[in-house]
Amino acid sequence: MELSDQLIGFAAAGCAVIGLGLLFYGLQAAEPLPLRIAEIDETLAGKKVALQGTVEWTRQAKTALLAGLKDGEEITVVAFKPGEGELRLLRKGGTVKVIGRIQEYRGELEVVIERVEALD
Amino acid sequence: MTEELLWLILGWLLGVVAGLLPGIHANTISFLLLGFAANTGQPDKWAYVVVGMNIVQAFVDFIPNIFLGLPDSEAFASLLPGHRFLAKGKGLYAVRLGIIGALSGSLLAALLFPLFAGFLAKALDFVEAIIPLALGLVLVSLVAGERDWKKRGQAVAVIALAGGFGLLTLPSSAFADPLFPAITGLFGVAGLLNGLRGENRVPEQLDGISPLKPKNLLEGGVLGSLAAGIVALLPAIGPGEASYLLMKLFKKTSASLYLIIVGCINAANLLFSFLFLYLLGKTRTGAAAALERLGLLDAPTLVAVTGASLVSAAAGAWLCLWLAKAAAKKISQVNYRSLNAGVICFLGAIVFLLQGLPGLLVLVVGTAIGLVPLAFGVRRAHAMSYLMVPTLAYYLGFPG
Repeated sequence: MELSDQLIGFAAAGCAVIGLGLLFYGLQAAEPLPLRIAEIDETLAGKKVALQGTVEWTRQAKTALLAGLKDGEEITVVAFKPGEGELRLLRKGGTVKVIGRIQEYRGELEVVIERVEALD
Repeated sequence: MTEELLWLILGWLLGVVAGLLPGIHANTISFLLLGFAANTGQPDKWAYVVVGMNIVQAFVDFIPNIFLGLPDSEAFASLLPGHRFLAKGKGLYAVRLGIIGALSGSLLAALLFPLFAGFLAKALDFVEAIIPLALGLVLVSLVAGERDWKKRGQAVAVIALAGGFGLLTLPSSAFADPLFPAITGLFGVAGLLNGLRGENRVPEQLDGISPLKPKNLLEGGVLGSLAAGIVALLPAIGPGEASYLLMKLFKKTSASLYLIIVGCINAANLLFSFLFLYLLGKTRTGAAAALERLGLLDAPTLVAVTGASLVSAAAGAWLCLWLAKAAAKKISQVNYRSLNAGVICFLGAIVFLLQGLPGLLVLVVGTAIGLVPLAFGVRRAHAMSYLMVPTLAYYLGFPG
């Protein structure tokens, strides 16, 4: 057996094919559910969702930035250890797309932010 | 998916830079990138840059590791396995062995994820409890692996020096990040200085027949994946030590097998560290630490990151092969001592720029200690005590 370019190419192609399959599957599974806030209920706890709305209010807690997101209905969105981008985008009156996971906290549903994008 | 692939390609380009330039590690670039990531609000995209860069660097690293720092080739028996091939004009063959090892490591790690996850779920508490014992055994095995009592005594001296150096610098607030200049000195600059003693030209590198025993590939893949599991579980154990220990344990001596195993561990360890981060929230590699900072821990992302790692492994293999062929053509034409001296100056400048005089001091002391095993003719892996001894002290409850 020779350690030729062809052998390396064959092994690399195997890696690439399996890798592309896993990447495609992982990205599909990681895709957030696009929802309106009114559609959110307890059955969706733990799910990744994408919401669009206007930031109604913000409050800086000790380790997190909280904001009220409204698209008719309102829900609290939480950014733990917010980065500069989140601090910039989550300002009162801003229109944003929030991607995050729904969780229940003290009996209320809220969204823990994974990503914020500007819609302005 | 196109967008993710474009981010991956950016990571590959950075991985080539990190791999080819000694002293510029993907970890350093990862943490610079985290600053950009915080500003863009797209951490998931930057995760692909981090993954692509680290995986490609694991491949491209073979080029400086094999083509630079060749000492006097008359002392053939004391050469590192990669340098043995370089001295015989087979540097490109050595790189190919590393590449096939890293490719098999990437595939096997992805396949072994469920097994490893199951093992972690059952045995993690036990493993955590025996870490100090395991580290102690690794140190004893490294010493016992030397050929006679004189060499074993010299190995203990190296361990004491490097371990003491780690105990002094790692917990000290006087140094911003002593790990980078220390490791650069202990292994990088010390090896390059040793290379200055060598001949001014390396032999012409041939791209001839490169035999591969299927048995070596199979053994390399299996042993490498096992070793990657050890590296992922035990802090402060590097790929070199893990490969050496496994080869001793299984009584293997082949330099080809060693290179396949090291390649396998380098790649598999990165993939296992992503799994470790997902399952336990613990970071065992710089890449996993960067992913943690980006906040990416869910199962679908782990699957996507694993896929991205495999695609990057394929890209890394081709990029490394292409660059290694170019290096093999040029290396015998350059003034080898000047090349090594230039890299030493570059490393000194990088350390000074990033960490100032304290970093330079750590680099100089690290280099001096790194030269000791070379002077004694014992394994340079003993200098990894720089990390192992302080880690052992931490687990044994000594303040630091």
